[in-house]
Amino acid sequence: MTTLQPPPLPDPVRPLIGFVRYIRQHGFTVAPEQITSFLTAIRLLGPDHPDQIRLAGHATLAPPAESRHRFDELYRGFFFGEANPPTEPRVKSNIDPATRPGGEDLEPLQVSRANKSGQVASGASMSSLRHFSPHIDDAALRQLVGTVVRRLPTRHRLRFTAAAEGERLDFRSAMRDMVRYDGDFQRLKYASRPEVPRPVVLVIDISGSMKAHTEIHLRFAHAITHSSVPVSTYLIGSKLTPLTPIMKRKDLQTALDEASAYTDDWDGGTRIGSALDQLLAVPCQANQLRGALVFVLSDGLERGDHRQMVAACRRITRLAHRFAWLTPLALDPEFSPRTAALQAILPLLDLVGASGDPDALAHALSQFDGRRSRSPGRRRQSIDTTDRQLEVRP
Amino acid sequence: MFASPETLSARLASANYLANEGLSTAIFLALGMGKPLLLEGPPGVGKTEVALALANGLERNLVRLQCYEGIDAGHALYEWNYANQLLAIRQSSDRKIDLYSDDYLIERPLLRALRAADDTVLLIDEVDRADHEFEALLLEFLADYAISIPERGTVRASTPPVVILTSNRTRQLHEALRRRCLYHWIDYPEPDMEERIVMMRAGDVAAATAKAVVAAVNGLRRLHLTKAPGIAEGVEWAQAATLLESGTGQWPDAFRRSIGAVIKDEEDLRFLMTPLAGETSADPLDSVLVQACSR
Repeated sequence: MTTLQPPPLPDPVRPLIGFVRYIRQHGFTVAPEQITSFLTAIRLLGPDHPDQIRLAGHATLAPPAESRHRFDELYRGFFFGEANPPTEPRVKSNIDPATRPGGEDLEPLQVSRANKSGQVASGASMSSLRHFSPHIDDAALRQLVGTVVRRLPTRHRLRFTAAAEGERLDFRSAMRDMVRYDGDFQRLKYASRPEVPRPVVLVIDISGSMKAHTEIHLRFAHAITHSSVPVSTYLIGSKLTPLTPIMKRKDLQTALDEASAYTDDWDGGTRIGSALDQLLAVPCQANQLRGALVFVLSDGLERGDHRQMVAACRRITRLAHRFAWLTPLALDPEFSPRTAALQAILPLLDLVGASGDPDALAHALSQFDGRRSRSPGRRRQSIDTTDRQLEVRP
Repeated sequence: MFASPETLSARLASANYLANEGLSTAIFLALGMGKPLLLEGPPGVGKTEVALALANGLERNLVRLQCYEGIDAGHALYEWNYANQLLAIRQSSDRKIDLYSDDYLIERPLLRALRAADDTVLLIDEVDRADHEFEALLLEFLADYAISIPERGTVRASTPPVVILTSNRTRQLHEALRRRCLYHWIDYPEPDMEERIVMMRAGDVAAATAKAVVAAVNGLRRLHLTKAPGIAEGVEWAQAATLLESGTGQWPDAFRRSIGAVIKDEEDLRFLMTPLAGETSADPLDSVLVQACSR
């Protein structure tokens, strides 16, 4: 049996294909049809100037706007041998930090240096890794969350579909019926807009002061991600880390392991205002908040100037359907928001509730029971601790 | 269609659109390769204007499909005129009628562009506002430039039409859609380019005014406002300030009074008008205007 070998590449094409391989090695995604387009574009352009190869690359290999600068550096590095481009850390999956060389030493050292109060966020950031307990059975949590999310508020889709009853007549279906029955009119057909669950956005604080509750919050995020509602998850510490794709891993342990390797600011300082600003700065992230139920799981310990946090919360309030702040401090029945930051954002919130415990989280979700408030209506503000609920005057 | 990106750029300039080298190259390639062009960028940088200028430059009709959440095949491709069909059935008695003739077909933008591919530029505007299902429908359309009408068969374009898609990146588009298109990110232009755009678009605006407006608009963009001003806002600001100034020489005041032409967010306005800490009366807007007008 003979093995079919691909024909050798023509000489002029070789460096171009080499460039595509090079940028793939640096994390850019390039599909085969894009390579064909790239080569066609270069043939069309001449090229009579080296920069045209770069422009053809922009148009056909479509580097995202944020990475275009890096793409250009790779281009210059590859074709003109300029200084090596800076490498961005790539996500490594299924890596247990403890198995890394020296990983065993990292966590105790850094955890001992972690800012346990969460109140002393400085300009400097500290890298830290995190282990999660193995072999967790989350069936009970999933069942609990699954029950509650079924009652979360819904919204109408804008697209009409055929239905037994509906708000408008479905002429298309009626006409097909008439054709089928020799022009005889059978019965009225309707179309309606089905109800779909509102999206949920979880913003989880992973700073030192939240260390004891981070794991349960992540388990909760995983459970709700695998329920019937669309969920986006973000971590906030000294920076913002989008975690949605990782939370979609079916196996909880895999998700936690990948999450642990995905960011390096576990149990460190917290810059809530700056992280929320980062969330709002990217249009596709900010758009996820539109009409969503937004839950920030944080103790809200933002020391110093909290104006950035208040401004970000004001924007979230305007975008979201409901905005809740869940803090483990509210597990204490005597809790009331005392920090300046929490007090400043209180009028912007629909709910201040408890987190850090599966039942408390489920209870907080149940406060937005869609059957009780079908329409957006006026926002109801309340402080909800584990065993009491206080109405707050706006 | 065009010999080079430079000739294309000159044609766009004759249609009142100034394109930089990257954009003219991307459009040139899209026309040459018969592929759709996806333009992304912040709001107000002139993405939609590219299609308008291209239609003018090529002397073609512009067919525009404005996307929104919930848009479906009936709004984008075609729809049957069901009311007329029902009436025709009732009135036909034993006469044979063709219910699926052109008499009952309502052409929507994609079908209209396909049937007159040589004579149209198709603009699919703000595709990020549509939902994922519509994106899947576009994939099929953009791959073959064909639409299947079950009752009639497949309608295929005689030549690949000129298709421009725009997106404000309010959500991430599917990779498959990006792969089918050529891509260009339109950013805010360099100051000298923006001055030329303001001069071209605003009409009776002095060069010094255009320079000051562009400097001020760039100053505002650096302040990380909720809604950064786009090019169109800059043009309107130049026009509004020129109207208010009317020979008095009070430029900073004219710019300040016409701020509504460029800032359209209450929170941003409040931020710009709040006196700076440690200052008696100056606010961020003052600082921006003083710097811009002193150039």
